[in-house]
Amino acid sequence: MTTQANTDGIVYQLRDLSVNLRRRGQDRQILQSLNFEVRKRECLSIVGPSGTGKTTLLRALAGLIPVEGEITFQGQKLEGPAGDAVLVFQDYGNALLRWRTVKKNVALGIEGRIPREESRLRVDEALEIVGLQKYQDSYPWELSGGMQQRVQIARALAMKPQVLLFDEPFGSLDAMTREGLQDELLRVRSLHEATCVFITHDIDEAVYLGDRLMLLSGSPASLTYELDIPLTGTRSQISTKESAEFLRLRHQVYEQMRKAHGAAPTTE
Amino acid sequence: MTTRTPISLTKSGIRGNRRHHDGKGVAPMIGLLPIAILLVIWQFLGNPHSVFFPLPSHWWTAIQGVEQQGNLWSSILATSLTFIESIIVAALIGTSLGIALGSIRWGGKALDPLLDFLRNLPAAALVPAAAIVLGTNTKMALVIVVLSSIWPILLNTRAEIQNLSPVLSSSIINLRLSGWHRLSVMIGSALPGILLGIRVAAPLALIVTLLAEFITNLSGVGALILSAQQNFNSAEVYALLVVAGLLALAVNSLVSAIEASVLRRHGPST
Ligand SMILES: Nc1ncnc2c1ncn2[C@@H]1O[C@H](COP(=O)(O)OP(=O)(O)OP(=O)(O)O)[C@@H](O)[C@H]1O
Ligand SMILES: [Mg+2]
Repeated sequence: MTTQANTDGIVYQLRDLSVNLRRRGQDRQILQSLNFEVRKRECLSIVGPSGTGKTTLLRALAGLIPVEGEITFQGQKLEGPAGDAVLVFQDYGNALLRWRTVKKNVALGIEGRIPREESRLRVDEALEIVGLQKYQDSYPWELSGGMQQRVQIARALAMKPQVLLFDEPFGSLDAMTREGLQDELLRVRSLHEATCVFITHDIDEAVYLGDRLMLLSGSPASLTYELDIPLTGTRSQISTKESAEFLRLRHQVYEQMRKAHGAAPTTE
Repeated sequence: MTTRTPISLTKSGIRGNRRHHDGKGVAPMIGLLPIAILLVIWQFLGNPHSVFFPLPSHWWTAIQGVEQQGNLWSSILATSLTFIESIIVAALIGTSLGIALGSIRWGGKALDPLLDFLRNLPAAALVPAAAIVLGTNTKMALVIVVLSSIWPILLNTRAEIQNLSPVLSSSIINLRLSGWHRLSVMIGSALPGILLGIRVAAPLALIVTLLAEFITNLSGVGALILSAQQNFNSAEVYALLVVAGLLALAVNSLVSAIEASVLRRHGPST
């Protein structure tokens, strides 16, 4: 991981970002004065209590909601949907089209935009990365939750985006499936070199996958903590998660999380 | 062969029976058993000289009489044609308007009073007005039938579009789908609701088709029933009632079969 100062290495630059959402005629500030950047090829984990505004932040990064302040995406002010940043949702059931086969779901974002032959190749490639070639003609509802989530990831990969925005993608999966997909994601990143923003509730997951971690908390939410994750070498479920370094980082995040929750007094 | 639960017409039943469709035809046939038993009892215990309740065997003779006059099949054809044309037109217009209204933010609420008013206009009351404007012809029947059966389709489609999952609408924007592509995704996801609307609309359309024929004497099964009644031919009235019932049954099976085959790719309902 490099800490470049020049803007070449920066994908997102947020300056004084605030978001107000309107619900039933009432404006509510959700995010307040966020300042941070997302660096090229890094995986930035964002954690925070439920309901703070993590999804809102991700939607802002994707250019789906109006914001105050400024988001610079790839050197340009973001106005409207970000073309090169693809979202992966927790709710794969609604993100996928149940009447389309796996293959056609993966092709959704590229079909009609690039020549048919190239589209086929990209779909095959994406399906191979997530290991689902055998299921290309199945329908999503014929697959397990973990497999459906892999379809959604393949759909994002097929677009060859610069940035992948994950919103608690593994939140509704069981522990074994989740760990499998975490490793798959690490592998995909090593192949694709995409930049990731990864939102999760799970501190282990945030530390395991991230190069950097940020804590979003408060109401309106702001960034209350930031941490580099200098885990060296290839990460593995067993050795990494048992390493002293991992446990130390995890401990720090836990403490900060506790503080963020506020109401419950910390034991220190 | 496993026994199937009969198709029930309760609201939940309509949606619920989607996964039972491999047993097509079977359930309604079993459901008809009570009527068959009733007819048999009627035949053997009824009064053979009754004017108001002629024996079912007399109905058979009566319907053969109608057939020999050469009216039966042409009438069934006329009624079926009006019905089929109307339901197709209602489906096309209802779905298009439903998508249009569902897509505009304000359209939902602002037009509700108007839609409620139109929806609740009784079909019978529309007939005279339509007859004045369009004359008594099949075009008029078509307009009446479409006007009275379009609502379940339109309102269901609108509701489906308005309730599109936020995750799906975000995906549509995020993947930069536009034009036809976007529309096809929206229609695909609204399809179960649209088909449910059509399933509710179809029997309505058949009823109003018959009604239009009653009132205007346009040729069709409705007109046959009317003239049988005017001739005090009660056996013929009953026989034609059976014909109308069979027509309704056929419509229902047809719509269910289409629904099942279209939704096959959607998998079991969630
Ligand atoms: N369209 C909206 N209008 C107004 N308020 C909203 C809207 N969407 C979400 N909110 C509110 O904004 C706050 C943040 O929501 P958000 O979904 O971003 O939280 P989150 O951190 O992703 O939560 P979770 O961890 O449960 O997914 C919540 O209090 C929510 O009620
Ligand atoms: Mg969320």
